[in-house]
Amino acid sequence: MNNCPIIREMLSAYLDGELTQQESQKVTVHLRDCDACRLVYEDFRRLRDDIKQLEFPEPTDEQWRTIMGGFAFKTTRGIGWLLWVGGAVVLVAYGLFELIRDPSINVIEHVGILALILGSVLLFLTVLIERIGSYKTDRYKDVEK
Amino acid sequence: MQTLEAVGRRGFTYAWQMLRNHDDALDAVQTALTAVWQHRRRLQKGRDPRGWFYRVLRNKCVDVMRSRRVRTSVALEVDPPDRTDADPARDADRREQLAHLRQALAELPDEMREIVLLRDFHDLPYAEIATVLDIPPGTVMSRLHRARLALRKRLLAKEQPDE
Ligand SMILES: [Zn+2]
Repeated sequence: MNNCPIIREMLSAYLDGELTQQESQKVTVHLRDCDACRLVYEDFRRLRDDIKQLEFPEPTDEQWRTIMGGFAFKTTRGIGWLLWVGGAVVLVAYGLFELIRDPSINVIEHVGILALILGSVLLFLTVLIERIGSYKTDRYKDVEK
Repeated sequence: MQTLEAVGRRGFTYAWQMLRNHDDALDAVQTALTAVWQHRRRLQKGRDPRGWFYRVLRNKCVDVMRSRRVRTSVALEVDPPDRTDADPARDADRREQLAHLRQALAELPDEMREIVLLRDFHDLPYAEIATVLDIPPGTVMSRLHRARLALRKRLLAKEQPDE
């Protein structure tokens, strides 16, 4: 049949369901009568079905968890930090307020408690600065790629 | 639409098919997922999140392959064994068929192997393949057709070596 070359060009898209209805119809009719083209079509189909059955590696569940932990939980981690910082600020402020107000606490206790609070604030700030630092490098890493 | 998890896992396999190395593939998927996550708002307006994810992933893989020309000590992994039928008589035939197919695929030029896998293994429609490879949809049709013809030719040569 003389339009075999035209049909051949369409066989791949025909198999994939990517032709218009009209084109598809044309191929269907042709394949009914043309053994040569049908053979190519059958081979394409067999290739597709066999390729679907090939095994390729997949990530293990543990690797997958690591990947997801790397980005999806940035949001929840952010909220967690925010709540933690908010709570700490409120408690420290309240503690200071009580300390100043309460006359029954003597000087040594005052000094001790103030030192504890100041120490906590300093430690907290250190962690915070480290976090901000690593966040900046993270962002830089994304820009770089 | 498929879940992020399903698309991501499939994406790992795509990355492995290009890089043939577990660690590099994991790395590429993580980078691509992060990029998709960061742009998720913009992405929801677009139509094709999977195509876009695959494209970002592919670009990352291309970067990795380029850097390998400098850093040469990457262990390339081999294909895993194929699942076969329980029937031992059919089993041997089937295994040989699939082995031929793998060889034929491996011999294809990268560009051809990639488009065949995107269509037949990953099941992407032409429009998505066009997004991933950043080529016009018409080119997808012709390139895929040529790739299948080439694959078929190689496979037939393996199955009937005397002809
Ligand atoms: Zn014909």
